Order: sequence, then structure tokens, then C-alpha cells
Amino acid sequence: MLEKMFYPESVAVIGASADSRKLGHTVLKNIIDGGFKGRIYPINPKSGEILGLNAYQSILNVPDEIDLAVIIVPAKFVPGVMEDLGRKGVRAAIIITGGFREAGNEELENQVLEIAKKYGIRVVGPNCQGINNTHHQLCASWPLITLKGRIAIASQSGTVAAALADWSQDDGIGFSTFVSLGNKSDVDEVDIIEFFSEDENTAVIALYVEGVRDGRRFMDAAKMCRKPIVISKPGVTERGAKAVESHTKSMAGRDAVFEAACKQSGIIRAENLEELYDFAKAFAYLRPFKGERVLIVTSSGGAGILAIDVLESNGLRVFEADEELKAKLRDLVPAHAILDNPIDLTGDATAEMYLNVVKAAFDYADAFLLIFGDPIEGAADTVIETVKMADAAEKTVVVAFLGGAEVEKEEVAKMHSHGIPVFPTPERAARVLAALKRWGH
Amino acid sequence: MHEVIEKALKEGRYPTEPECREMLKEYGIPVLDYAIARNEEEAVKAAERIGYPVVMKVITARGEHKTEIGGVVLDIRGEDALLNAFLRLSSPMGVLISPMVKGIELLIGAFQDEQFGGVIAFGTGGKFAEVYEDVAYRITPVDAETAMEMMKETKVYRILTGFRDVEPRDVKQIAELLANLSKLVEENPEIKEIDLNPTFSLPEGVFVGDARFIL
Repeated sequence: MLEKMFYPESVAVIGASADSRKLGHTVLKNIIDGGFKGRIYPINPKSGEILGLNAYQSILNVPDEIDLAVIIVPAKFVPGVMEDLGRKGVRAAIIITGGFREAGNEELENQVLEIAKKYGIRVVGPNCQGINNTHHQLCASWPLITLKGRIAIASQSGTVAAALADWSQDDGIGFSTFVSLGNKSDVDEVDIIEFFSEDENTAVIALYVEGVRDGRRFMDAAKMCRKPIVISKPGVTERGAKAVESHTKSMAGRDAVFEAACKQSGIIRAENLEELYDFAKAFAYLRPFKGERVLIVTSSGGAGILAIDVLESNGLRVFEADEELKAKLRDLVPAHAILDNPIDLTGDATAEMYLNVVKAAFDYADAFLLIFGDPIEGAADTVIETVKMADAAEKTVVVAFLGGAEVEKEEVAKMHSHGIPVFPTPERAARVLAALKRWGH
Repeated sequence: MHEVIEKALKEGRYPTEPECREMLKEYGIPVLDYAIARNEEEAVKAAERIGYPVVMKVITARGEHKTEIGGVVLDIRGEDALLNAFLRLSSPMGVLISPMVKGIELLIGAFQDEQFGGVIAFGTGGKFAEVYEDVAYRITPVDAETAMEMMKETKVYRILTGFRDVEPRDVKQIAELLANLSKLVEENPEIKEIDLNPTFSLPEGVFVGDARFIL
């Protein structure tokens, strides 16, 4: 039903502007520069030419069918624009304009919604930052990001969505689609879950919501969803819940109830934005973790211990290496290495040692947490090899890299380009492993 | 809708504790033995049948916390104390007399959430329940299996399965109770809040000690 919203063949930008300081300019420019393959129609009452495209005074003058309208005109003009869309037969609209419910103008929002209902127009927003479907080369948003990935990001906060998008760009893993939900007057978390459950370019859905409209429908959609869902929902404290109400006029609800709803419908809840991103990144590339026994291989004792505490307090077992395992490992590691779990290869660690240790200890563990705590060259090759082995045996590999300066940057980029997520601290990697376990459960 | 709820709604009041208890029993939720006494003679008889020490409670249709309005007298050990308490607590509806028991106090409850509908709560009960905040929640319908998962999230579960000198309890029976409560909630959404605090887990089984429904 939202196919035309996310995969349109033609887009009209209503409120497109030649003035580069205006949002109506940025959005049109990003659609063009993003390489959108369909037809683009700028709409501006002054007509003329904008960014090399012929602008129309009204959408009604466009001699073509329009799949999607992006609306960036002042709030008071939006009802008129919606009527035009209805008459033109447009069935999907993104209202970027703010100044509705969030600004105390509930009546105007209801009016827009009524027109949308009358004509059967689906609406994203208002008061939002648009959508960006990298796989369709449609960036009806900002900033312009074109890197294709597997994570669908949907958020009630434009900035939160943009931050996740930025991080995915920095990591070189990208996202599939970015949706800024804004006031969620029509398209909400349930629509997003239903649509992206079926979207072939999406492997995981990352949601930031401040409240859900219909709890039961939300749970049903999540239970039916064929992709993992990671969610961050603030408003845990009384003060936080109050802030939610004034931000998007959502009801934060009782946090403990939301927590229960997530557990009962298989949603993985992230405690903060960093986790939302980390978990989404992990779920996009890794498998759920069904085992229990974790082997940590590290070049830093401290980093290993930081990981242990997180793992153990999340019900994972950093088992003690027995004499048999120690004997197998003794000749593979430096003489002063610590052969307990974590296997601490010390600062003398080489990439090769990691691979040898994993091979020798392969049958002892269900998951391997590899921590590179020094500038270890060739780490990526080792990890790629390890992942291949682990995949065949349905074991899990999670990687942390820190304290490796320039070497780290290179190796991490290489791993990311091979679809192997790397996390910047041992605790974050450990929390990811715990989340993979919850997912597996 | 259950007739108890229908009647209370029609009369613009909340169900009384005896009404709540009858309804709980119909849903297979075990309640602690009790009797209603409308006069002194009935009170003495009831206490003798139940056996001292007993607890006496006011019967009200306004849904108050009975302890907060001074409507509960605990640990009544003889007839004099019983009659004194009766004088203080009796109303035309009588008083409720129940055995004084000591067990693991559980918080069991339910409420209608604005976004998610029926919710069941389970955790550490008693006077300090709100301080311990040892409560797990599940959205209805809750079956016995889900109830068990929910119980395992709480600290009191460890005590129920046997800790130090505490005899292990039949946790499956408690899970059944929660599943039955879920059924009650699903079939009677008019009840905004159910408070079964305390519910006693005794070596011989689990029993609701106090019941309060808010409509």
C-alpha cells in the first residue's frame, strides 16, 4: 500500500525553490543529485525554471501522473495543496512543513488528515524530515546520503534518524530507507513495520518512537514481521514522558508496559541511540545467537575484562578454559599470553594468532568475541576467514577494535566492506552479543 | 461483562471485597478462607470456625485502600478483641473475617493501559512493595507459560523456588492463577484496576488475601 510512497516513479516537490537557503531548494536538489531515476516536477507559484527543471504553478498543470508529492509550503497552504493532490490523483504525500499539532495547531492537522482520508492519500509527517530510499535513489530529505545498506531507519525525530544515517555512512554500511515520521498523523510505526517486513532491500528495522498509537496493532504487526525490529523509546522517567508529550504530542505511556509489549512481540529494545544503531548494524549482518558459551580472544587484558562483565551480567557464559584447551593453545600464542578465557594474546598479538586460536578452540564455544586492542595489521583478513568458518558451523563472531589508530581505521573499513560489523568498544560489542542472544530467544 | 460488575456499574459504586472474592473464585483464583459477619454473634461464630488469630476488614464499595482508612484489624487473638474490632468496623454490609496467615507476600494485579489494554502484574508484595519495585508485567492474554516467564523476571521467584529455610512453592499454581486473572481481565475490560495485594504463597498453596477492583 505504501509502494508509491517509497518506490515512486514520479515525484512533485511542492514549494520547490530557486533560493538555495530554502528547504524547498535543498530537497529538490537532493532528489536530483541523489540520482533519482523517475520524473521530477518542481511546483512553485512563480513557475519558471528551478535547478534546470521546468517548474509548474500548480500540480494540476503537470501533464503526467504523480506518484509522490513532497510538500514544503507554509502550514496554512497545506490543506489547499492536499485538495489539489486529491484532484490530481496523487496517493502519497510527505509533509515536511511544521506548525501543526506540535505547535498547538491540532485543528489544521485534523483538516489535512480529513482531506487525505477523503481522497485516500497516505501521509508521512507533517513536521518531518522526509524519506530517503537509497535503493530507489530517492533522497526526499536531507542530508544527501546515497550509500545503499540494509537497515530501515524510521524515527519520530528527524535528528535521531539523521544521526543514525550519518553513522551508517561513516561506517560505510549505509541504510536501506530513512523515514522521518514527524507527527505521525497517518503513517505510523505499524505501517512502517508492515511495509519493511516485506521490503526486499531491508534486513532490519530500527525505530525511534516516543509513543505508539495502538498498542495491540503494534504488537500484532511486530509478531508478524519477518525482520528483526530494534526500538528505542524514551520517556522512561516522569519528566521524560512529559517532554515527549510536548515534542510530538505522543503519549509516552507506562514504560514497564511498553517493555512487556516488546518482550511479548519479539522486539529488541535498545536503551539509547548508540545501542539502537549498534543492534541494527549487528542484526543487519549477523545471525541470532542461540548458544551460551562465549570465548573472548583479545590483545588487551583490560578490554577483555570490560567485555566479561557485560556478557556475564546479561546471562552469557564466559566459560573457564580447561587444561585440555590450554594445552591446545599453548604453542599458538606468545609465551607470556594468558590462556584463560579471555585468551589474552597481549601486545605481541598478530592477526594470525587470532585465527589459530579460534581454530583450535572452535568446538569449545558457540560465539567468539574478537577484541583487537592494538594496531594489528591483517585483522580484517583474519576476521573474514573466521567468519567463514563460523558461518558454516552457525556460530557467531562479534568484533571490537580500539586503540589501533590508522591501522584500525583501515582494517575496520575493510571488515565493514565485507559486511562484518565492528564495534568501537568491548562493552558495545558485548552488548551486541547479548542482543543477538535476546533475538535468538 | 460479569453480573457483579454490571450491578456495581448500575449502582454507581465499586464491587465490595466479598463480591470481588466471589468473582475471583469463579475464575478459579483461590482466595483465603473468609466469612461475612453482620452482627456480633455471627462474628464470634465465624472467628471460631476459621480459628484464631483472625483478621477483620471493613466492607466498602468505594474502592479505598482499606489499611489507609483504618479499615483493617490484624492478628485478633480472642473474643474481646474481636468484638472491639467489630464495633469499629461494622457497617450495614457487615465485616469480613479471614484467617491471619504468614507466608510469602506477593503483589498480583492488573490494569487497563491506555495504549496496550489489559496488563497483568506480578512481584514482591506487602507493605514495602512500592519500595522494592520488584514487579514484572505482561500484556493480556497471558497463558501459564508466559506467566512463568514473567515470574522468572522477579526476585521473589527465587524465594518461591526455595531459599534458605523457605520451602519451595508450587510456582505452576501461581502461573495458573495469573493466567486465570488474565482471563478475568480480558472478559471484563470495564475493570480499570485489580489489586490482589497481598496474595499469600503458603506451603499448601497460593491464596488471595485481599481484593480490590476499581471500575
